[in-house]
Amino acid sequence: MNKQTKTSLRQWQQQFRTALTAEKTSATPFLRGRMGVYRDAFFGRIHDSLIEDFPNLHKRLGSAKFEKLCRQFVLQSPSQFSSLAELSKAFVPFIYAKKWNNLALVAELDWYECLAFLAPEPEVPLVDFKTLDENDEMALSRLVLALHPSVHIAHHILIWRCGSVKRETLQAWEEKLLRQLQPGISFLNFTDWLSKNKLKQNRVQSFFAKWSQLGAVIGFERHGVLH
Amino acid sequence: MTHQPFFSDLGVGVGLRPFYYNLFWQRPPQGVQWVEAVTENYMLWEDGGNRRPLQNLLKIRSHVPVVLHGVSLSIGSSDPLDASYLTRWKYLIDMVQPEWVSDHLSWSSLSGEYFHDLLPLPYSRDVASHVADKISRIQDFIGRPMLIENVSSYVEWNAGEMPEWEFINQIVAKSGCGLLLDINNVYVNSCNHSFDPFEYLRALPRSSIGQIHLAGHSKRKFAKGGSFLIDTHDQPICDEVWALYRWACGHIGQVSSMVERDDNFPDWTELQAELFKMEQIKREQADKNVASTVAATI
Repeated sequence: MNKQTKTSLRQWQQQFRTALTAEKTSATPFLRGRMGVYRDAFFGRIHDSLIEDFPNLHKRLGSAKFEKLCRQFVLQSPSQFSSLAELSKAFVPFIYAKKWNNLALVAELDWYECLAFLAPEPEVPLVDFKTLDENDEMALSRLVLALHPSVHIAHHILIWRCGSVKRETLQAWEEKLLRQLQPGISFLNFTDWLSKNKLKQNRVQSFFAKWSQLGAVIGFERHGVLH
Repeated sequence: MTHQPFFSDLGVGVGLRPFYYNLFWQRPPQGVQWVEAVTENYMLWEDGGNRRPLQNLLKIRSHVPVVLHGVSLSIGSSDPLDASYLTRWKYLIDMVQPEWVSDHLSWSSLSGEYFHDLLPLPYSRDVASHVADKISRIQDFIGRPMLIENVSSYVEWNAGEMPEWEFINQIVAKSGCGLLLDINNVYVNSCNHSFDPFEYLRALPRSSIGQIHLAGHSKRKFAKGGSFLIDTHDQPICDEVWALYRWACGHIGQVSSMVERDDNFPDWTELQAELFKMEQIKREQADKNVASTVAATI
């Protein structure tokens, strides 16, 4: 395409974008027809997608305020993503940036539910954590624990997908414990961490049993072998 | 590089939507011979997320043919091609091994900003060249021919130089791509922009048509008078679109055809009835074409 045409197409598309994102209907001398159909669809499609991904935030805010927030989001934080689902991940930081921390927390939990739903099936089998008791110190030092790939921890709440998406409230120390597991921490560092935090081993074992039964903690590596 | 388009007749299919996933896990429901999956729903995100949908698609792909249909390639944008998008799309293609891939003859992004809609292009020779050049480079990158789909539109550019069908013909001829003919979009545009849909269909390059879409639409009335048809995919296929499809089957021949439904999802039996009707029309028109060929021979 020659330079003249490229400039023209770009100019036409810039004019179209201005008309598309305008808050109010304005004249579009370069077009004939119903620009309003595109304008309504542009806001409507993103709005509907955000309602689907953030149902609790929508419920908390109510329809009118949620719609207003969506419009601000669309105009102030234009989509950089080719998929609508991916656009949703920019919504949580947008709300945090407004310093609406309580609403942002609700949005964050909604978003983690989406991520849990989209996470892959685990590639490791479910395990019986009773065998943890049998480890000697050397073996423990090589132990690496794994969370279900869909696990997300936010503000004393654990969200993961096991069958359907589940949401469980955590005791504060359990949250810290799970956060230690997130990067796949070795048990040697882990026991160091436990001793510093004065947590009793038997409580930790019952903790593992509980979360492994629920499917949030899915495995451990010992002697380089995945269990 | 020239990619010779060849798109076999897969029979009748349906747009794969999560609402109906449960019907597809073991085998496709009766009447479904292939499915079309929306590319962006299964592509990995830039951060590597979104893996479960791909797992789901691979499971379904193991027992039913799949084609990939994109909505965000933005072929008509004045932006350069998006390298990240193309790379992730190519990965999806390699994983899924679809029968073919397609996207829309429209634009949906500008200066890196996505609008999540299929926006219309000015029908000019220069824009046709620009789009054809992009399609050629895309086909080289993915190593296979692709289909482009005609879109519904609600505005016309004053800069337009030719009718929509001529614009399509120029692009298909220059790029060697195939055409995904959306008959509902032809009907919607014929009402919105006042042209004869049969003239449109007659003008298209028959041998390049690799797939047909049928869908429903809605009528919107405006406060200041007048009405428009909107391509909503939330209604049953209307009689006028069925009539165009019947005619197109006779004119074009046997082409993979499918129903799109994206909202107001009905009970599966309602969609299934549309598939059965589609298959019946295809068969009747094929029989007619055979009969007329035999008659001409003797």
